[in-house]
Amino acid sequence: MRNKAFEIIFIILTILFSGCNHYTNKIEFAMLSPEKKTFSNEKEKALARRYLEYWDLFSRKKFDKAYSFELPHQQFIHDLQWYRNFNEPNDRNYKIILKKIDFLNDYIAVITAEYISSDKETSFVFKDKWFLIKGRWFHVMKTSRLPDIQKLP
Amino acid sequence: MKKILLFFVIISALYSVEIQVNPEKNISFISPKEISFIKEKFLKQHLKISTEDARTYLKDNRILANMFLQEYSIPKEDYLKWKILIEEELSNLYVRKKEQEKKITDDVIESYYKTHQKDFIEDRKINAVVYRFDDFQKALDFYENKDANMNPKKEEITLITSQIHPVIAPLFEKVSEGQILPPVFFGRDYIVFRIKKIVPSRTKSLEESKEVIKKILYDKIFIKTKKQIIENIEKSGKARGK
Repeated sequence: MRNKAFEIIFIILTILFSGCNHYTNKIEFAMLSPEKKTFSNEKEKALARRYLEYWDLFSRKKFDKAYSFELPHQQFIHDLQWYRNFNEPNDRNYKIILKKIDFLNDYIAVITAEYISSDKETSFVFKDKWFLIKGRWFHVMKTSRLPDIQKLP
Repeated sequence: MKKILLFFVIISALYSVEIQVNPEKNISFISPKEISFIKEKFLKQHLKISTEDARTYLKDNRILANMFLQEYSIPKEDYLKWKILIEEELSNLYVRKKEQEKKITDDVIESYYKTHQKDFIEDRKINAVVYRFDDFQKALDFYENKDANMNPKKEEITLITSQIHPVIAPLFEKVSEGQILPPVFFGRDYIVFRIKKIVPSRTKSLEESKEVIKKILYDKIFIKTKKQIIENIEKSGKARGK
């Protein structure tokens, strides 16, 4: 009887805490486009995992955590308070669907993804640059509201 | 510069900067540090001067500065100007010191290095011997090796491809080691270049770039750090003179 009770508590706790680390253990397939549901190697998989975790945090405005995904030298230049203030006016609860990963070299990747607003009224495709630093992928922080000229056709 | 050499900055008990200028008693003593300081100053203006010239420059200025102090008095506006300059200098030094407390880790350096690769490309370098002639025919004879006894003025230089004067830059586009280039009129002479060594363009390693990156990053946070320091000092009430 006592064992049974422990078993039930364990199952409840597992269910309660399972959502906390779902991004770190597996890729969230709902956020991947149909053509991007398989990965050619572990490097690509690790990047996709970081990418989706970052955008999940960012869309939920968890800036304290999203900040740690930004390039280390940008974190050195722009403090967390600045980062919060800069990003606060952004939309929230939008969905990002990863569509394509292009590796420019062994440490630079460009990711193409689709943005879908929470009311599903707006959607567009955009690109993100990521760098591999000391074995981990980092996002290039947006530091200006002006469009990135380099990315324009 | 000559003025700064004579400065004695007094930091009084109230921590405000006061300036006193006294004549230099030992005019002929010029320290090696002063000489290298002056040489560096000229180098920043792309002028290379010898140690002897630097010594003369310093000594002349010192003599004239002392003469000024003997015959005239320093205008109040100049004191004010120097005071402002020194306060500015000390303020910057203080911020730089405080900046060093913010350590730059290896991942920060690697991050900057990888995202700014173009900045770490070192241009192709050409090491050449320059032969100077006052007449074209002599330069041509030298180039064609007609006179083995010729002993023209020569010097060795290193050219950085992107910094070569546009007038002669095309000459260096396709050169090889050991090659002698035809005479050109440049400056006030006819010149023949003999290419000694070519060091191809390359990307500096992360290790080589570390110190430069640290400097760039500290420069980038300078204004922010200065503002934060001022805010903290004002909050703590440590600022004197309030």
